[in-house]
Amino acid sequence: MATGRRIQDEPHERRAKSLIVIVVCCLAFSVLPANLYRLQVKNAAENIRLSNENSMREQIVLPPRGRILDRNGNELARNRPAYSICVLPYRLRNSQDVIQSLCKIRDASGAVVFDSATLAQQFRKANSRKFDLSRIKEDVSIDVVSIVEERYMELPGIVVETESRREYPYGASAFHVVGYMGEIPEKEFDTLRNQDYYWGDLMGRSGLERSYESVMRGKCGREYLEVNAYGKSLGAVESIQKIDPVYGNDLYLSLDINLQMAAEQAFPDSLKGAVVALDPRNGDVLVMFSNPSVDPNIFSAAMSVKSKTWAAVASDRNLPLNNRAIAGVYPPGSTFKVLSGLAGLEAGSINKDSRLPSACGGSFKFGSRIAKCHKQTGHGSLSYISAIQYSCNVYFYQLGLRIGDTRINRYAQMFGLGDITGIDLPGEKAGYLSGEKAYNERFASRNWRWTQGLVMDLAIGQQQVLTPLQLALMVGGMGNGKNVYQPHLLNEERNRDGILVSQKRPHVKSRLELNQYTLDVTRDALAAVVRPGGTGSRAAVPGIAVGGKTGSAQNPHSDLSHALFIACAPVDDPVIAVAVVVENAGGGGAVAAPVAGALLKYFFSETKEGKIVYQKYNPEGQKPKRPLVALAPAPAAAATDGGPAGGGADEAAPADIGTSPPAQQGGANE
Amino acid sequence: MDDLRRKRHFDFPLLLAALALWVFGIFLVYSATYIHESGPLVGIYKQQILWVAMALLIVTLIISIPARIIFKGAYIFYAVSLILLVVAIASGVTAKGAERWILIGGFKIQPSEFAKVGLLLALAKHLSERPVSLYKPSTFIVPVLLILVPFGLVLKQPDLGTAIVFCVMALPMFYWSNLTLLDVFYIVSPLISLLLSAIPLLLTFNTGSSWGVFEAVPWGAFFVVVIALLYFTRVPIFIWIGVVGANIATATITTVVWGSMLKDYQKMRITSFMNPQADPFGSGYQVIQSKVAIGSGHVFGKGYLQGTQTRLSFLPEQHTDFIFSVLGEQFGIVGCSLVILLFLVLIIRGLMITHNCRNRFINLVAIGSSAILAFHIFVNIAMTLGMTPVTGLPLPFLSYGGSFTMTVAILVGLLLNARVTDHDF
Repeated sequence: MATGRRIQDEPHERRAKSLIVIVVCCLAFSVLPANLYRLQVKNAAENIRLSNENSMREQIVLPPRGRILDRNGNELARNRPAYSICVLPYRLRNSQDVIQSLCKIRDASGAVVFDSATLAQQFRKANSRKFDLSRIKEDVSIDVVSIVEERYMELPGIVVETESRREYPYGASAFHVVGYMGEIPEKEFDTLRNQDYYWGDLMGRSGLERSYESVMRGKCGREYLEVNAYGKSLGAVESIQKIDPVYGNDLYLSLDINLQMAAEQAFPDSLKGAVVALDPRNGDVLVMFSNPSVDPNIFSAAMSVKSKTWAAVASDRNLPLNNRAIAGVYPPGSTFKVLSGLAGLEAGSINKDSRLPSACGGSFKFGSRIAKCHKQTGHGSLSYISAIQYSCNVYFYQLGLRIGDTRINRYAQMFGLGDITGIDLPGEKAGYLSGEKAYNERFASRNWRWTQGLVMDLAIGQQQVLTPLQLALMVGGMGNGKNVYQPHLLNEERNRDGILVSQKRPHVKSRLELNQYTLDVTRDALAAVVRPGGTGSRAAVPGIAVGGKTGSAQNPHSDLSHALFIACAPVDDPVIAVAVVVENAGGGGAVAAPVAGALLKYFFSETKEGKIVYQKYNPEGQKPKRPLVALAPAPAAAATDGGPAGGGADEAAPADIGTSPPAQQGGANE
Repeated sequence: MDDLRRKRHFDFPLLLAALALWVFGIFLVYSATYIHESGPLVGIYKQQILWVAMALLIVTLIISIPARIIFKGAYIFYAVSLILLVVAIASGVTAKGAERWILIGGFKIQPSEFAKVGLLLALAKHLSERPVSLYKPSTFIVPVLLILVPFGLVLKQPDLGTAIVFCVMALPMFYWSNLTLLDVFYIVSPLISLLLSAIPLLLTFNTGSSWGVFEAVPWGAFFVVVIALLYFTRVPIFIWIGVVGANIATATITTVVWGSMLKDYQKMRITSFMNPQADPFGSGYQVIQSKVAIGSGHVFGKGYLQGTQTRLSFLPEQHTDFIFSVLGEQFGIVGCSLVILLFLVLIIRGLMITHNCRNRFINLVAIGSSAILAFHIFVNIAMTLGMTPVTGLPLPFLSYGGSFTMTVAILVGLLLNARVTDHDF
């Protein structure tokens, strides 16, 4: 079987070649003894000193995390010292005695702090790492700490450790903005380990805690400690320079926590939804509230408390962790009519007095479809201003058909709708502007096609879905008239000593190129809504011209529509723009407008910026007799103006458009 | 006739060296981990005893397989090891970001280990039938492809150490398969270019003082030597172009990558072996601790189970990649030298198989196996002494680990097999 090729018959060549390989090998290996000699004989003394007498251990020094403060310097997130009782097993003499002594300790209320069974188990566990501290009780009160420290003679091996925990003084009020901290998820650890993170470290998991994690965290310092053979620290190794930690920076927000709490107070407790207020002159977010909320302090509580509450929060069907202000998408309903109107004015299709061919008789016939208005008896023939003021659907059906979806959406995009605003929070949703192309793409799998009739729904805000933040941006832009600013929460970043590190400059998201006439008419219309008789009169603030628009958006989840209200004030040169969304609550005028009203009243009477503007419009001596701020509790859903949308309540909410056949869509708005 | 008489000779020195090292390894693994009273490392030495027992079984099994069968099954083994690699990448579990394994019958298997054997056999079979020649570049196509497939798969894991093993083991096999030393030099020259152009950069980064124009001197001098050799050996034009091009390209790429693509922390990691004190907390930690452990062993060591560095768990990975530090601390320069000597006996005996064997396949397997073992041993020990970067290659016979012990067993089995088997097929 021998094949010539596979046989090597030259013994000399084989020998020579293998000898060469052997020589190369030996040459390479000869480097090793040379190095061994250097380490083990020449430098042995130094190495023996380092290893035998002393050994080194790395100590990570975690700097305190930066704080979060609102625009007036109120602390929304800070650090508090927390104390843990730990055990250092190698120093325990008689663990039974120690357990007995510990079990005698009672806290201020007289309750026992430790129980012997748990302690025995913890001691056993701790024993496997004799020279490391193991926690036996997290986050104990200061009086327990003082007892333990007094009795240190009885408690050898028991050590009190001080650490820093995150504290949120305003609790649930600012949860969605501030966010919370949690342990690094396993998935992210692989990339984070290169960036100074260690297993078990806490990091921001949502809100600003997450988006400004790198700013607030700072940089870990490191020290090399000499420890003796028993693990006791003998101080820093002097030959190796220690690295000082870099402190995290503080965040100064645009948010006004007092205004936020005013909004929270005005918001119906049991209902879901969101309130956003921003300054249209620069994009400062003043209020961002989402209900239901969570107290973020539970996330930094002791492990035993945390695991219980966390389970409840995570499985809550109301999704309290969701920030509805940026991640909740709702059909804008009638609030969108102002934008349709703006598109019509800009196109020259209407002016402020225009009456459209069909007067409102409670419904509008298009082809074979009868689309209803929320007022069954009809509004009659209306001018544009009145059509906004009374929120007549029939007027906007006709306007929508006249100007078409493309034109409406062009202006919607100009105001930043249907796209993420780029706010400095994680998890923002873009929403969805409908229209022929977008609709056909979105429903291609269902074979639904865009029809002309859907423009009617688009014009009254029943086709698209938007976030409350986008709505606030829209109404603020209409009042401002020149620019739409990117909304942001962070105003300034300051270091620990209060020195400014960086400052957020207003960033123009889009320039509004609109005719002055369009802006004037739009503002007149918005102001008319809030005047007595308009659907949004409950948002009125005495002494200030508020412009607003109500909305009651149909949605398939409930018979009750979402209540919406958008407002800006003062309407001709706004310093504040507000959007309120209350899920499944009924009419916007009845439920959402009062929330906005309370917020605006508080703003103009209690905040620094608001007072200045109020003074400008109401010079000394013309003060209203009764104080502005009289926070009325939010009324229940049903009410007079703009109550639950009557008329043809079709299941036509793009919020969950998948469940409703498109052909049946018929608008129904106040 | 001389050959025939000797070929049934069993290689006892090789077997004894391997046995001694394996047994010694068990004791070292025990001393590296006995301090742990709980956790994953408890009783790990018992596991190692089991691995070594299995290793002996595998050695016996392989000795009893006729080399003819190994020759015939080479490509199949190669294919199976590749399939396992792909399965591991598609479904495998990651440990600390790099190693991947798959579970087979309750055993964790690292396919990248078996791919070393797979590639060895496949290369040996191919080269034994079709030798390579620098003058016929087409002869390199298949061998390079054979290497590239597992190389790419392992690199994707990512396991740079193993990927490098694939390349290094091929070199002496190419050499055996009809290349001259000069040919090998031409093949390696781009790598030398890389090193020489990188060294000034590394030193500059480490010391902070720039060399200025002298940065180009080491590589420049080498390049002149290459040109001169090419000129005097009168090689064909395509070798000229290939060698010169490859050298210029690697030198340029090195400079560009270092200058504008690597981040400082990556550079730090690369240079940490040269100057661990610069980053004693991060990448330099293991190296410092390992050097202190070995250095404090002095001449005779601190005695078995007496290593303070080891006992206080200062050394990470001390039962796997850094087992040599445990040896150094407890047995000193005497123990280290003895072990290195045993390793050398093993490698030299392996290479000497070729003296009396006419079968090209068996010779190639012997050369390749010895090369794999030698490379692992050298790189691992050099790493624990702080001479080379931390690559994650374990130390044959001594390091804890199932798949790797099995791989070493297969290699030892192949070496022993070469002596007892029938050489004509």
